[in-house]
Amino acid sequence: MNEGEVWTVEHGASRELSIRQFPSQTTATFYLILFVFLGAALAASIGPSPVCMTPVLLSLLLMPVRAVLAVPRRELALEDQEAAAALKLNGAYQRVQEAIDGLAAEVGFRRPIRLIVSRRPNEARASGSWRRHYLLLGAELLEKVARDLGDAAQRDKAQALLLHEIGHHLHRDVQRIGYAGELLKSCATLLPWWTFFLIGWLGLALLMGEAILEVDIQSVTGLTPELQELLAPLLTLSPEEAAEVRSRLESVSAGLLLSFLLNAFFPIAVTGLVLWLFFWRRMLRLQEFYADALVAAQGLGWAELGAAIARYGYSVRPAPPAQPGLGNAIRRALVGRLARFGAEPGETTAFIGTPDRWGWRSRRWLSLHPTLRERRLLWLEPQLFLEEWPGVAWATAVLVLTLDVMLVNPLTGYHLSAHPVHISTIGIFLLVSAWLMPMLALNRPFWRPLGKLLLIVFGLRWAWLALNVALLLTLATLAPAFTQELLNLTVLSTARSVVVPETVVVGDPLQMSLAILPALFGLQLVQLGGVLLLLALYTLFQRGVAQHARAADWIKRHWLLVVGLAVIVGALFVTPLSDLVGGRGAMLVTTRRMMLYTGALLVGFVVWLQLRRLRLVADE
Amino acid sequence: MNQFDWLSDAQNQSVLYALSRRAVEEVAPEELPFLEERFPDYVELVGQHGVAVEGADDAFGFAGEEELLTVIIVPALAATLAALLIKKGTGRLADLRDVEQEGLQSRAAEKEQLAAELDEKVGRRVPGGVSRQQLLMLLATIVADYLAR
Repeated sequence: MNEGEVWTVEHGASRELSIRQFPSQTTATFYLILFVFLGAALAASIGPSPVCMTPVLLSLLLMPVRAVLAVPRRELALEDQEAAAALKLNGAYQRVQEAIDGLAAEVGFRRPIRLIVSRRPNEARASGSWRRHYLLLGAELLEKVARDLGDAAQRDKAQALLLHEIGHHLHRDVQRIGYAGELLKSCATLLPWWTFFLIGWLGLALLMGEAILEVDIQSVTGLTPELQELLAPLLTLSPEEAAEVRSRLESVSAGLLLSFLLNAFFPIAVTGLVLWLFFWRRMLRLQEFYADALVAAQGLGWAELGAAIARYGYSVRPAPPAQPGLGNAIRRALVGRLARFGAEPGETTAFIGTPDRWGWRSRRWLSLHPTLRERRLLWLEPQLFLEEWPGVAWATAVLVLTLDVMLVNPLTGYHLSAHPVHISTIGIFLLVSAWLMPMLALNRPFWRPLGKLLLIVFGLRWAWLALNVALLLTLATLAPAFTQELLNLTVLSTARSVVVPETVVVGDPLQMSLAILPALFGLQLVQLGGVLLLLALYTLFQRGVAQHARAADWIKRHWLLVVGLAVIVGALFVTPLSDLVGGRGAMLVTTRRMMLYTGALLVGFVVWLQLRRLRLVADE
Repeated sequence: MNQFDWLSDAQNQSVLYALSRRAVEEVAPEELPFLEERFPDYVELVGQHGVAVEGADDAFGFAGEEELLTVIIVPALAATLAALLIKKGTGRLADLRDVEQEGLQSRAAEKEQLAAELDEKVGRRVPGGVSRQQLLMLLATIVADYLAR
């Protein structure tokens, strides 16, 4: 099927169906994570703050970029120069490089992909940074691929391997997932570091501030006059400056400062770690299917891809003798990289698997690749992958809830406390619409699975909310003093204040908890309404998409609609209703809100124009 | 003498391959390319030493690590056949056909039922939804079928 032609869908025409024609969950997840994390970093630097957030923000923004940009240097440094020289001498390197160039041109990837000889003999991997693209092959594997390219019986397998790796570049997996991984890892490592650094540094300032103000540089013995002259302006403050510093030192509460720092950074760090451990890997696993789909699009079958995976994906070699010792036993049990494929000579029993039901299952969560079974199933029945709703439901429920929990921190809560359901509403729509689009394009019945999907998403959210409310009410009843302290700390942290207020913010914790419940439940209904409205409008616009849009425009059309609807419904539905539920009715007609409504309508108009243009192109 | 010397015979190899293929087709058809592609390596290496299969689960790589049933099935069948050959004192699988078929089959059927009960109690499953007990019974049945032919 040509990408340009209008595609009338017939259910079961799986051989013509490619998942590459539809928006991927990975892309939706990537943009959601990027938006939330970078938004949180940006929000941290806006508004008053007890500590200067600029260095934190800059480190969080720049370190992942630096890590991605450093990839080429790292890969090139690890290149096996000797093997590369030998392979260039016998022409194997050139043969594989030519094949890569040819296949990349065939699939429409215009930038050069450089072949690197990896030190790991059986490695096959795509790598690179923003504008540099590499394909790493171990020396042994490269030689095998070069040989196979010249053998008519094996050529398809070699091409399947190369196409799969080119697919990772074509789908920008290396850049997007690579950057997302670095961003999440940076959050998990940098923010705890910043927390401890700031606790130490600010704690020292609080403890030593008074003493430093009292220092008279002239009385310090052992300093040369030049050094005293150099240090004097740094340590000597005018009486007014000294008084201001003294008053600030006295007003700052060390406990509140500690609470602010822990509340501000740890939710983001923990969320970053959790997302990196599970969701980032899920993104990688999903993208493997898309890389496989590129192989299919080039006319190769599962027989070729499956054989290529067996031929190049695994190394079969004499087993090294088992190393005794506790350390090796633990390593084997935990990592389990090596599967012995037979018995030692002289042994009378064969090796039968490993008894690790839980080990295998838990490794699946952390795995970077789908199983052979999943890859084959998707290859043969791509519509099953597109229609599979439970995975999307649980991933959406857990991801959006995790991000929601993360956003309840002083850095973002300061700005979002008036609009707590906006991001999760848009997040749910973003992820669910990526599943809904193929259902609409394929004319598949979607109401029932969509209902179940939303039931899981909202069921989990409301269960979590109910648990929190129950916990809060129980604490407020059984331990009112402790709960009052806790709520005061939370309110002051969210207000980014480290000064003990003259009056207690939260008096009666039970009364306050009960008072916020109506608004809390009202907001949940606003969110449900927002998601339903978004999905209804999306369905309205996308229904019959296969009949009135080119397959090549499906993805563009999807993203245009997602952005347009999210802005319009977010500004014109969720915002005013949140204002009303939150008791801020007067905000509805302020100049700021009017500008927001006008901006949303403008975005809607631009999106409508773009959609119309896409449709006109299809009509031609 | 190595217990896998019999695998140097081409006819024995093709029998082992055919039996392995039947089992793989039954429980893990997605691994058929793996069996086809890697069986010669196994036969070549198993006589010299144990064989290791390693995959690298790298980001943007080609294949992940997983427990392939083929690496359980082929050695299990090979070891079963090797034990039978040693017991019969022969090097050719064709010579095994005169063993008592009835007994082998009935015992396999009994054990299959036992395996199903064990599965329910223990709930142990290997990748692909096939329990270890079911897999072993399947292999036993395949060997018994072969011998009964």
